[in-house]
Amino acid sequence: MADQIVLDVQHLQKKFGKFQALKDINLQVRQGEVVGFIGPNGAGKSTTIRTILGMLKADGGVVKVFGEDAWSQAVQIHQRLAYVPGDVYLWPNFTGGQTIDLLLKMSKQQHSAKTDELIKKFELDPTKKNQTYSKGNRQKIALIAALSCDVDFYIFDEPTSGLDPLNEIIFQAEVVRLKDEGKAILLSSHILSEVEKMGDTIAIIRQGTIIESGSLDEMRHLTRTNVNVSSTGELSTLKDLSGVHQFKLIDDSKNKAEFSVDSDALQAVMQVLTDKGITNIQVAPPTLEDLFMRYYGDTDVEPEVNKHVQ
Amino acid sequence: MFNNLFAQSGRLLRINLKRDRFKMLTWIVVIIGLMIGYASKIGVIYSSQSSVNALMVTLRSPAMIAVLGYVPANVKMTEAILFSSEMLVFMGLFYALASLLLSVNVTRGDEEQGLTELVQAKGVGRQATLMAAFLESVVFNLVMFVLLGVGLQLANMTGSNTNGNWLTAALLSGVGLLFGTSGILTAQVTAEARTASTYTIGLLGLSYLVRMMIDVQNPDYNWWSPLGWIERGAVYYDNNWLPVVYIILAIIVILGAAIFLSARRDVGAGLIATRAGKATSRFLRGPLTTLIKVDAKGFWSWFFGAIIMGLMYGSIFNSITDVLKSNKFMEQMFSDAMKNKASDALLLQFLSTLSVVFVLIGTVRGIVLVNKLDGDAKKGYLEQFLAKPVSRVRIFWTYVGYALVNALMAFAAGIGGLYAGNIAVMGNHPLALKYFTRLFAGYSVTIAVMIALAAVVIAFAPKLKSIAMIYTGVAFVVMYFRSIFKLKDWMVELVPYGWMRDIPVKEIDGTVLLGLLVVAVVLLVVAASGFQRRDQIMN
Ligand SMILES: Nc1ncnc2c1ncn2[C@@H]1O[C@H](COP(=O)(O)OP(=O)(O)OP(=O)(O)O)[C@@H](O)[C@H]1O
Ligand SMILES: [Mg+2]
Repeated sequence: MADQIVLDVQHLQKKFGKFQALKDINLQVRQGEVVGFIGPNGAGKSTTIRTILGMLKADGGVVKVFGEDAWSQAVQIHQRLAYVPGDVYLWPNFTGGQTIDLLLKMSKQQHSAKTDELIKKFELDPTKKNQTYSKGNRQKIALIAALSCDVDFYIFDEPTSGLDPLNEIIFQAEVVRLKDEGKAILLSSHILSEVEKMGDTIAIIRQGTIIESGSLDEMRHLTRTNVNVSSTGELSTLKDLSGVHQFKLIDDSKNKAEFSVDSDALQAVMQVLTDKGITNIQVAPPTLEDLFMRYYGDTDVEPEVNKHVQ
Repeated sequence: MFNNLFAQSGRLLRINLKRDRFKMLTWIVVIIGLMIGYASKIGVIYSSQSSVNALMVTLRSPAMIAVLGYVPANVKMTEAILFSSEMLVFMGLFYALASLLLSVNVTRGDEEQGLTELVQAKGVGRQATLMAAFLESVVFNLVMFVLLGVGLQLANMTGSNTNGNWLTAALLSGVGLLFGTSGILTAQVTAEARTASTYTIGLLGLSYLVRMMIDVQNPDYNWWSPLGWIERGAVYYDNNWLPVVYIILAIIVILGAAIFLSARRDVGAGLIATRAGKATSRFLRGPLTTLIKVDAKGFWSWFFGAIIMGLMYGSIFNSITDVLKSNKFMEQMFSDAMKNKASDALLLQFLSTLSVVFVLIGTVRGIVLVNKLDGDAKKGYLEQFLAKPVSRVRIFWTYVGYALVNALMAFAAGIGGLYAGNIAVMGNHPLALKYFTRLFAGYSVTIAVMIALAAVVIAFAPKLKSIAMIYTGVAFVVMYFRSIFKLKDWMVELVPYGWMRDIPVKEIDGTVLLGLLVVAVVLLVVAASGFQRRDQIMN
């Protein structure tokens, strides 16, 4: 049971008119697994999620949830699933409390002690009218309703984009709890550090295609390691070694440097470094930010990301 | 300071004009086309003096005065005066409706989408949005003014004069701008665009009804309604420009009030603040209950609005039959039974024209609710249902079913009000209930057909959703003017209402009723399966 596949997406394609929003999406989520679904704006995260939820009809490929077709069996599937949309819009003139109860009732769930606990934790005032809540508070309402559902599969589309850091931590703890209970979780984001805290698997989407997916550990060996080193010898020659990138001397000194190394060149570079006489070295595994930059940083599609790097 | 408040109104205006150009163009083509088309054809439709005289008898009847406005006595009837008596009040309604929908949309619609916030953050004056909305209304009505003036000059009806042509154009554009500005004012008070337009349309309806009651009883009091001002212009015989001055003064006052109010409220909020409420609700449990709660205000406004309108129309029934009492010959020679019959005949003729107003109310109510299916999908409300174990078909039938029931309720409320008014004023001989139930039964199915059509559009081409409303407008004009425009039967039958044109005077044709019912059901089923099959979230 433990490894059972909850979500299985194979070669999903989706067109909006002539625009091919999804070209080739492959995605799996298993029980007890948190899958981070990462990609830049407009990559197709929400479109994929809406197809999984049977709100959009796939043009090609297979989307199965609990082994059933996402479009035709939507009603049955949704009985075992909870979802928080990226932009939460709530009916005007309902109070937050009423909205939470309504969302729960429609999922055939009870307002439980868990619900009250969450309302307290997130410090939500359930008597205010929806139109008077801030973006973050609207998001809390949807999160509380989803998190207090007792279902098997949770989908969050950029769940923390409006939350402050404190509430973000509460949310992350809740997700970890769900994971420990053996639930399946799909979580889209562009906040990479967030996914890193909860997820063990990630899928990177770009322009409608999953360009990389796997466990964080698997992904790491594909990537560069960050090195920060001080030595007795001069370091500038390192710059020309193959596999060394973004080389930079620190504080204009000749023997303090910072650079990143392709994983397969690590061995060779370390040898050279040893010869220089290392006085201090810090080697850090790549963060998801680095992963992200590596895939998107070199392309012309994402100029903002590039600017950010420089 | 002043500069600051209104900074960049001009730039905003340009952006808005560009965005609204198709909407404006449609209104302009429809309104100006209708008027100029009729003005240039009027000589052909009423070619002989005898046909003009026959029409005058109809137009002078209280029923037609109630509907179209009063006809000057003691002046020589010409094409021009005929045209102005038939068209002006009614076209005033159109001008006002177009302007108010545009201006409410610019002020509040934008604000709801958060555009105003974006724009104001960009160094645009606090009052600039309001000013831009007003200026847009000015531009819109100015274009209509020029086009209508020139068009009427070219149409060159007999009895027309340059002064009268331009006065007509000025009065109508003036009333348009007046209601456009009123829309801006109400938009400051209410918290939502839809409420703002509902209120302003209510105000317009009230002006029309007040004018109607005054016209039927004593036209001298016409100054009490802005739509009455159009009649006060006495176009083509007296050419009185005073009402135009009134209109301009009223516009200035209303604009001032709007600016004053707008300075005292926050962006995105109305003046009436939102209170906190209970944290729980027993009532809410699914899509239908949600829809009912969301729509509660709309429900009561439409319901009471329709009843009040019915009551007001019903309350002039006695004025319509007054003609009989003032006739000495009839008074003495006719038996009571004959008098009653004559009274019924007059009222039925009135009823058969004006019932279309209530059919319109019902239809519009229904179509607005059907279109909400698309609106709510865009606003992100539908996504909340769709992620739940709620099927797409159920959502479709919830919205469309709610629309159907509410359309028929609004229609029934109007007819009910009419009947109540009739009972109240007709004392000894009110018009029998059966005519009212016949009206309801007959037109209900035509309303259902219109709603089913709207549902088909929403299911297959939500982008074109305004089609259903435009078709309804056309259908209304066809029914209202079919006798005056002398429309052929086949033309009238191009719209669903046309198939019921003979009720309540004649009985309902069972086959026609059944046919319409089948059409409605088939369309609804087609719509449901189309909706079921398509993407639920479309931008
Ligand atoms: N209904 C639609 N009609 C046409 N195009 C659409 C529609 N929905 C999405 N798109 C387009 O498909 C692409 C993918 O959009 P999507 O919302 O899935 O991106 P996303 O990865 O969720 O982005 P973000 O991080 O900004 O939320 C975008 O280019 C978007 O403009
Ligand atoms: Mg998204």
